Amino acid sequence: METSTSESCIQFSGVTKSWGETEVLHGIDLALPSETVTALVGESGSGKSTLLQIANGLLRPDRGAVSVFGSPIDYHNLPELRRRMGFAVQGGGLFPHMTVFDNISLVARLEGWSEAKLSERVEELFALFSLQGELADRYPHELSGGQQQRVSLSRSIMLAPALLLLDEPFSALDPITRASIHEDFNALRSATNSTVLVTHDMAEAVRLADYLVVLREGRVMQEGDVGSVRSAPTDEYVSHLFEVLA
Amino acid sequence: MKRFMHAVVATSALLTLSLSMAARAEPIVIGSKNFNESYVLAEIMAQLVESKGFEVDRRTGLGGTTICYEALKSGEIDVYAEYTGTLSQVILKTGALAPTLEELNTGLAPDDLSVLPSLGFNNTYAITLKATLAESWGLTKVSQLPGQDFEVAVSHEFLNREDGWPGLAEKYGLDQQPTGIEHGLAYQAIDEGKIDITDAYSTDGDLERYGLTTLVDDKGYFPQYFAVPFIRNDLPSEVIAALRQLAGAFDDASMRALNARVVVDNDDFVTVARDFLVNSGLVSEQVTIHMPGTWELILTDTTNHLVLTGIAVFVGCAIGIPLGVIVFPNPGASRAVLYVAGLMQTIPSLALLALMIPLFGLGTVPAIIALTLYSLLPILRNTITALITIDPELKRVSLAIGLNTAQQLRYVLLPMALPNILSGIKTATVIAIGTATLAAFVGAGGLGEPIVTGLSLNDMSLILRGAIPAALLAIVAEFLFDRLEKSLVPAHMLSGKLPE
Repeated sequence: METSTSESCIQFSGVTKSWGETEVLHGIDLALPSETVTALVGESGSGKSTLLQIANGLLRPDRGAVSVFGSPIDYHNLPELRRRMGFAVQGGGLFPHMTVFDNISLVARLEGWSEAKLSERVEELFALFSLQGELADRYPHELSGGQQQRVSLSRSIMLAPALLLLDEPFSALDPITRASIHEDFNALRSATNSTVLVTHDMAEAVRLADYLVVLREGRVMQEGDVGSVRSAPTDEYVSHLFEVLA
Repeated sequence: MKRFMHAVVATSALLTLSLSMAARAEPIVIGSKNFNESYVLAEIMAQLVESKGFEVDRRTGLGGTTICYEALKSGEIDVYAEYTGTLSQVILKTGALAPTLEELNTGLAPDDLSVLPSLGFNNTYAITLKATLAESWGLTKVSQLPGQDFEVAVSHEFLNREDGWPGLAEKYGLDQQPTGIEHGLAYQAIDEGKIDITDAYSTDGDLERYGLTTLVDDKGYFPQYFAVPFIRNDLPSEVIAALRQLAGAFDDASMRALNARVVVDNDDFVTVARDFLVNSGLVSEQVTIHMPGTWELILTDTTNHLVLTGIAVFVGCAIGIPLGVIVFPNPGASRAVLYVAGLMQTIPSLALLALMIPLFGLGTVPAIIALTLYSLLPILRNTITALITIDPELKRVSLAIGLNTAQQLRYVLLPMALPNILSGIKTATVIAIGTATLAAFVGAGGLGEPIVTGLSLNDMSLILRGAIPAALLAIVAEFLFDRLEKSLVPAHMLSGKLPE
């Protein structure tokens, strides 16, 4: 038990969650490996986003336990935990009343960073995501979808978090933009230790992730390294997902 | 959020200014009801007291006997002109038709109030007809009426009141069958010869205008309504002495003439009162009376109006915004709060103001409280709606990136709700500016004062003296709020201009 905790960034034990009468997660046991990009793959309704929101305390499980960085989530001190976990969503989730710079630097400023340090870090992120400097003073609505998503990713790693949670961040983008951001994402992998990516797109999961968790109707169908899952699917559903790829 | 702080600082400055303007020294406060004669008498008393070196504050146009009486009892006003019949029947409820001063003062003693000797005229109900007609028929008193073939039409109230026509007809054996008519139309009807006789108040200036005469109530049927200064016993003795000089200074005809100067000749109260006091030797011609000019009056009224609405809207914000912030996460509580605030809005403004009097007395305080209650709904509704309708994804993201709830409110929710909240405050301000014109009924002053006076005198220029500045204030307020919005909110966040 001890060893598995130290090697996993997030551990779910018997996690159950219901919306009203409907149970959407049926006792999930899952240890997500550290220093790895893990993809939670599944159709809508598989429970993958619910699981991600349980990981950062946006939702609380009805039963079961969640540990992050080896300790159970302290629900009285969520902001501190969340600042160690980057977060980005589909569509970017940028605040429309703030400039790009303010969107990215908001939490760091609250952490007491100096203006110089803020600027320096934002410049670094702009370089990482190939964003032009003049975008810093624009508002989100003045940006293209791809630019918004790059800004959103910049915001998620501003504090260089040990863990990054991504909820379908690329789903709303056109194929060309998506391909280009995927490249940037590979650059980002070196900048953060562990990443959990929620996606319904198996191709994206295969391209970006090392470790794969296939979810269906609130249950884990299979998990393992991308290669091993691909070569030995334990289930017809899982093999079907790969067939679509080929 | 610096912009928020600027708005708060600006509003606090306005409040401080408002409060400092509301604080005053202690002048003699003279009130009046909202009909012509009461205004004239108040102005006469005011100038007389001023001529003795006292500072006088005029609280005219108060909305009725109860309001005046309560105001006098609570010390909001020090004196006003009341009528003996009203004192015995409405205030003391003794029912005496011809109460003596002693009886009245005995009844009023527990309130520390008293009445001074009568001014000399009796403004009671009267039976009136054209002077020419009366002359040709040789009519001078009511007892001559029975058996005569006249068209009689009396006001609806007089027709139905036990102490109106039914009692009168019984007392005098009148056999005419009167019809009911609107009081204002009766004079016109009598002027055009459609009716011969109607009821009136014996000192009504309109009697003069239409050349009417009144018949003597020779069997003493009508209650006596002698005008008396109704005072607080704690008035300075010099003021009481001055007011006593007015005892017997009038008779029905002279009061009627003074009233007519205002309603028929459109002279202003100040001049009419001044002429009366000088002609009757109560004030020497050398004593100059300060006659505030039209612009000065407009400025004073506008300032008062701004103070009323400024404080009300500020308090409305101070209550409404935090309350909205507290209840918005709970849909049930939000609905309940909005329901109560909405209910408040449905109470007619005058009724709400009247409800305030027993609780908070007279003057600016009840007016501000009533206006605040009116301001609450738009501010609360916009605050709650704005906060509720923010994209739930953004609410979730703001927490997920590590903001605590206070930071979420300050950096995300409130700034995003700001355009909507501002437009709620704008609506509240415009409503308050309009509603505050009714505040004159409870003696709070403001631009409603000339409007109320103008309405009771049917004087359009007076009405406009209040109505035009009030309308301009509303327009200016709207303009300033638009400017404020532009300076506080990024252009793309303004309502109606959200990006695709």
